[in-house]
Amino acid sequence: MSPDRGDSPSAGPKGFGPAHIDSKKIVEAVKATRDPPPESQESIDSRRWIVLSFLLIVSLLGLPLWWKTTTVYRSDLPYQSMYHWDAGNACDPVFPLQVVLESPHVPVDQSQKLLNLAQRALDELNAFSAHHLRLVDSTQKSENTVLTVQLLPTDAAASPTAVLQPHATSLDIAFAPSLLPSSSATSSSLASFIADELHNTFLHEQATIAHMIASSPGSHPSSKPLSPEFLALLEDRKTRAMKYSPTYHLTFTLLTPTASPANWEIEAAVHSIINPLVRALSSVSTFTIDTQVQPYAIFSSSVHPVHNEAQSAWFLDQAELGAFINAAEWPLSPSIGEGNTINFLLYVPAPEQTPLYIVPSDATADASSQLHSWLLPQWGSAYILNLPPSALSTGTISAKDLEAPLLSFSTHLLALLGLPEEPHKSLPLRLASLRRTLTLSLLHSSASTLGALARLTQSLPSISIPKPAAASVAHTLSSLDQACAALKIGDFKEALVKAREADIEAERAFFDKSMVGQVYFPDEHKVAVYLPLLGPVAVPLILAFVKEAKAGVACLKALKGV
Amino acid sequence: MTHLPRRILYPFLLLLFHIFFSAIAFGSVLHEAGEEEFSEELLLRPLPDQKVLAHFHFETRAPSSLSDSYGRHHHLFPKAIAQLVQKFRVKEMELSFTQGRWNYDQWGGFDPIPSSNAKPPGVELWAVFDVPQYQVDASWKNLTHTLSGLFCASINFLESSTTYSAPEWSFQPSSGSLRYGTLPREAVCTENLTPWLKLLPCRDKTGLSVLMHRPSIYRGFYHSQRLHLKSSQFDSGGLESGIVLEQTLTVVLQPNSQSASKTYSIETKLQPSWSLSSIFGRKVTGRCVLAKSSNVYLQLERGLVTELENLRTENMISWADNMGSEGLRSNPGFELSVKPDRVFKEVNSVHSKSSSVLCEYSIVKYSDSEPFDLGLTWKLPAVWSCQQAPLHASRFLMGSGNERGAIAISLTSTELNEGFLGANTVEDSCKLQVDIFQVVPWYIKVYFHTLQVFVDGQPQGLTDVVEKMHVSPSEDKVSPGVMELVLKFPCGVKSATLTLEFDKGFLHIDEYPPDANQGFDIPSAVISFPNFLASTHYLEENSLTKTPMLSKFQEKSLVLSYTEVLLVPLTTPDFSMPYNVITITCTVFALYFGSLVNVLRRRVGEEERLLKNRAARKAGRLPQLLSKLSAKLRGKEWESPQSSSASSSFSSSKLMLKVVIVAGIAIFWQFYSK
Repeated sequence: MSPDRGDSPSAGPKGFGPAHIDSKKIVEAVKATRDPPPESQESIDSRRWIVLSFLLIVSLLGLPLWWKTTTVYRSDLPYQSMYHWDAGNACDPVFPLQVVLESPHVPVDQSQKLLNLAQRALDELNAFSAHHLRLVDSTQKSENTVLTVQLLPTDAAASPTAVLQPHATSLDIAFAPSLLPSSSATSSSLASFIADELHNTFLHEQATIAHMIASSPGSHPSSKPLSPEFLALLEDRKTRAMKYSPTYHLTFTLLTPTASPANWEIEAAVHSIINPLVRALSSVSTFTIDTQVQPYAIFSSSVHPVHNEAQSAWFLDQAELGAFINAAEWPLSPSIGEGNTINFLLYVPAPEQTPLYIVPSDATADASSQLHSWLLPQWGSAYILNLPPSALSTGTISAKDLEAPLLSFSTHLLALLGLPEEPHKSLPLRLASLRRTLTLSLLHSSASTLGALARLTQSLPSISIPKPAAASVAHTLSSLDQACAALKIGDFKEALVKAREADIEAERAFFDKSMVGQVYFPDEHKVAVYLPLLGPVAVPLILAFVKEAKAGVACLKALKGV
Repeated sequence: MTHLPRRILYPFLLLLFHIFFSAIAFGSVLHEAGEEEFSEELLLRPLPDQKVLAHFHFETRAPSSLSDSYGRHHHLFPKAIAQLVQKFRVKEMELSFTQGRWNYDQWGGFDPIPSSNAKPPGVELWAVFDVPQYQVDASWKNLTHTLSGLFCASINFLESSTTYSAPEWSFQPSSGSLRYGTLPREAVCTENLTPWLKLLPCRDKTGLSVLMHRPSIYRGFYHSQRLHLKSSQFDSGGLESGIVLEQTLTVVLQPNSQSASKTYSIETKLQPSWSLSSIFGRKVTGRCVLAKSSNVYLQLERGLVTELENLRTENMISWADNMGSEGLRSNPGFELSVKPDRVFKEVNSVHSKSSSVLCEYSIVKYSDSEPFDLGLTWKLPAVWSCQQAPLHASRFLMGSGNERGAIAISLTSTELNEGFLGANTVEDSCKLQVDIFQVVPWYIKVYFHTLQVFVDGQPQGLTDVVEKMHVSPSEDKVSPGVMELVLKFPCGVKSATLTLEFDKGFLHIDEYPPDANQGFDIPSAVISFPNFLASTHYLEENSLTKTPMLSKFQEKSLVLSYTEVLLVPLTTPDFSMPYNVITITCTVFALYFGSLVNVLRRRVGEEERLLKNRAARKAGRLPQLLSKLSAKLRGKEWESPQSSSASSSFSSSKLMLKVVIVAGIAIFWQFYSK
C-alpha cells in the first residue's frame, strides 16, 4: 500500500505554498475534494452479483454437499411391519393338530361316524380356538400328523381303555365293538371317550400355549384364567430352561477331592443312558458329548459340610449350594464352538466325608429320601455320588454306579431344554409339544426384537442403520411370515426351522456392530468442530448481504420517491 | 492300615502291586492300548553364574479319539486343548509366555534345554494347521481368540494380519500352513500361569507342581512357560497317533547365598548352596498319583564334570573311577543331600574327554511325612562354562533421528566353535550354515537392497555368503516384512555382521498404542544353525523304560537362539492434533475467504478508508442508541455527546460489538445444544 496523504492532512502543504495562507482552509479544501466520487451503477451491480453468487454457491452447493457428506447412513427399515409384528397383529399363531383315527377293523361308515362324533365332542370341549385338534381318517395321514389313534376292538374290555405308546406318537384305544355308534346315533360314549382322552393328552400344551399367547402383547385377555399352580409351573420351567440354541455341548465332569476315583466307566453309561435320549432330541437341536475327570477338586472356601453325628453323615446347607460350583478351580469353561454348554457335575466326596447329603428344605422329610442332586437353572446339574468304601477302593466307578446319576442328569437335561412334563408317558409327544412351544416363543422373541430395533433406531436419530442390518430385518420378516404360514397348515417342523432363522436374523440385526459407533459422538463436539469454520465464513457473508440488502432497499425507496 | 482285616488287606495289596507293575513295567503296553498318559518331571541344573535352572516338564498324551459319533471322553488330557485341536485342526502348536531374556553366554545355548526353551520375551505363538491353504488365516484368527480366552492374555492381538507372518522354510519346514506371531511387550504373570496349571491333571495340588510357589517363581531372572502341542490324528496311518501335550516351565533362580561371602580367591567365589526348599520355598510332598512317572533330575554339565575331575586330582580325595551314585554323592566339589536313584552318563563320541552326568530321583517313595528336598552344598569353588551355540547372536540399532536407521545383526564366534568344528574340518570346504528369520513390522520400512554382510570386519559380496534368500516386503497396514536368509560362513569365521537400513514410517492416529512414546518393538530374530543338532544321549543302566525327559534329551532339536527385542522410537504426534488441525485449517480458510469476499465486495481501498474516516467522526450508532435508551429510562433529556468524546465512544462501540457477538454465539450454542 502506498502512503496516503489523507492520513496526515497537514503533511502535504507544509513544504511549499505561501506561508500566509491559512492552513486550516487548505485542509478543509483537501478534505472536501477527497470525498469519494459516486459509484458507477456498473460497479454497484457487479458488487451485488458478487455477493449474490457467493450466497448462491454456499447455499446451493456448499450446504447440500456438507449435508450429504456428514449424514449417517440410515437404510430404510419397514417400520410399519416391524411394529405390526411387535404388537402381535401380523400373525395369529394357530396350532391345528392333525390326529389320525386309524381303525382297520371297523367298517368305514362306522368309523366315519365315530370320527364325526368325536370331532364334535372335541369341539365342545375345546375353549381355545388357536389350538385345536382335527380328526381325520387314515387316508389323510401325512407327515404333519401329530398323533395316531389306533382303534382296537376287543371283546374282553367292558369299558374302553386308552394307552399312550411311550416311544411312538400313538394312542391305542381298546374297546368292545358294541360301543361303535350306529349310523343314526347323535352321541356315542366311545366318541366322547376318545375326545376326552385326546383333550387330556393335549390339555397341558394347550394351557401353555394359551398362556404364552395371552402374555404376549396385542392379545385379547385369555378367556379361561389359569390356576396359580400351573402359572408357577410355567414360570419355573421358563427360569430353568436354557436359551434355545441349535447346538448344545453336554459336558460330564467327574470331580473328586482326592486323586481317587480317577476313572469312571462313563463311555458305557453314556452309551446306554444318554445316547438314546440325545438321539430322540436330535430333531430339536444337535448335541455333542464330552466327559472329563478332575481330581483334587476342592470346594471353594465358603462351602463347609457339617457332620451330623446322629445320622453319621455330612450335610451341605441349601444356602451353600449356590457356592458349590468352584468356577475358579474347576475346569468348567464353555466348550469351544457355537452353542450353549450344559454342565453335569458328578461329585464323589472324599471317603472321610462320605456320605454327603444336602439338608432337606423341610425338616420333616425322612432320612431315606436323601437329597443328592440338584439343578442349576440355565447352567446344568450336579449330583453327589456317595460310594461305599469298597467301591472307592478300586479307583474306578462302575457303569452300574453311574446309572442313578446319569438318569438324574437325563431328567435334568430335559428340564434344562424346557421339555414340558406332560403328557408324561410319551417322549415323542413331549418333544413335539416342545417344538410347538419353542416355535411360539421364538416367534415372540424375534418379533419383540424387531420392535425394540425399530424403537431404538427411531429414538436415536444419530445412529446409523447399515445395509446388512436392513437385510437381516427383511430376512427376519420373511422368515416370520413363512413360519406363520407353516403353523397355519400344521407343518410344525418347518415352522420351527423358520422361527429359528427369524430369531437368529433378528438378533444379528439388533447386535450389528457398526450401529454403535456414532452414538458416542455428542453434538457438542460437532459445534466445536464447525464453529471455527462456519463462524468466520458466515459473518462476512451475512454482513455483506445485509449491507447490500439495505442499500438495495434504500435505492428502491429513492426510486419510488422520485 | 495295620488294623485292617487281613482278608481285605491282601487283595488290596495285590491290587496295589498290580497297579504299580502295570504302571511301571507295562507302561508302553498300556499306551498302545489307548490309555491317556501323564508324566511329570523336573530338571535342576546349577548354572555357572551362581544361579540354578529349574525346568518343569509335564507331558500328557492322548490316543487319537476314535470317531465316536457321540462323545469324546477325556481322563487326564485337558478337554479344552482336545477341543482346540479338534475344532481348528491344529497339527502342531507352540505357545510361550516369557519374562526376562535367556543369557546365552552364561546359561548355554547348545543343549536341548535352551534350544527349545529359551524363548523371546513376551508371547510367541506358532501353529501348523491341517486345513486347506485358504482357510489357514481364518483358523489362525480363531485360534488366537480362543487361546487368549484360555490363557487370559492378549493373544488376540495376533489376529490382525500386521502381526503375524507365514515363514516359508527358515523357521520350520512347512507347506504354507504355518503361522508365526509374537507379542514382545506382553506382560507375563500369575494370571497366565493359573490357567496353564489348570490343564494339568493334578494342577498344583500335588506332585512336582507344588513347587510352583508364585512369589519364588516370579522372583527369578528368567521365566518361560511353554505349551507345545503335537497332534498326529489327522495323518492317515501314522504309527503313533494321538495328541501329545507338552507343558514346560523354565525358571532361572538365584539361590539365597548366605555363605557366598566366603571367597576363596579374588575371582573365584564359592557357589551358593541351595535346596528345593530354599529356592522354591516348598518341598515335594509326593507325586501326582495320576502320573505314570514323576522324577527329579539333577544335571551336571560337561564343564562342571571336567572341573570336578580337576578338583579331584588336585585334592587327591578318593573318588570312584566310575561315576557311581556313591561317588557322585561325596565328590570334592559339592555334596548332595539325597542319594540319586540312578545315574546316567552321557554317550558322546566327539567329546570323549568329558561328558555330562544326569542323576535321577524318583519321588514315588516320598510323602507328606517324608518330603523330598534335594539339596546341593558346595564345598569348593568351581568355575566352568556352559556349552555355547557356534555363534553368539546379538542385534542392535544404528543411526539417529526420527527418520531413518539401520538394524545390525552381529554374530560372534564362541570358543566352542573351533573345538566342535574340528571334527568337520576334514571336508575341503568347511562351511557354517546360519539361518536367519526376521519379522519387521510394516512401519519399519526396511530396504532389503541395502543388506550388507561383513565377515571379520570385511565387507563381503552377498553372493559369496548368502546361499538362499526369501524376502516378502511389508505392505502398509496389511502385512509385516519377512526376511529369511541362509548364510554360509567359512568355519574359521570370527565375527559376522549384517546390516539393513530402514525408514521409519508414520502411523495413523488410531494405530498408536496407548504408550506410543515408549517406542515400538521389533520382534526377536531367530538365528538357527541347521548343521548342529542339540541332543544328549545318556547311557542308561537299564533300558527298560525311557522317561519323557530322557527321550526329550535324545531328540534331535535344532540349535537356535533368539536375539534381543529392539525398541524403535517413532515420531509420535500430539494426540490432540485432529482438533488443532481442524481449527487451524478452518482459521486459514476463513481468513482467506473473508479477505476474498472483502476485496471483491468493497470499493477501492482509498475511497473506503475515506468513508471510514467520515464514519469515525460520527459517534457510534449503537452507543447513541443505548444512551438514548438509558436517558429515557432515567427520564432525562437526551444530550448529544460531545465531539471530543467521539474517539472514546468509537472504541467502546467496537467493544460492544464484540460483546454482542459473543452473546449471540452463546445464545446460538444454547439453542443448538437443546
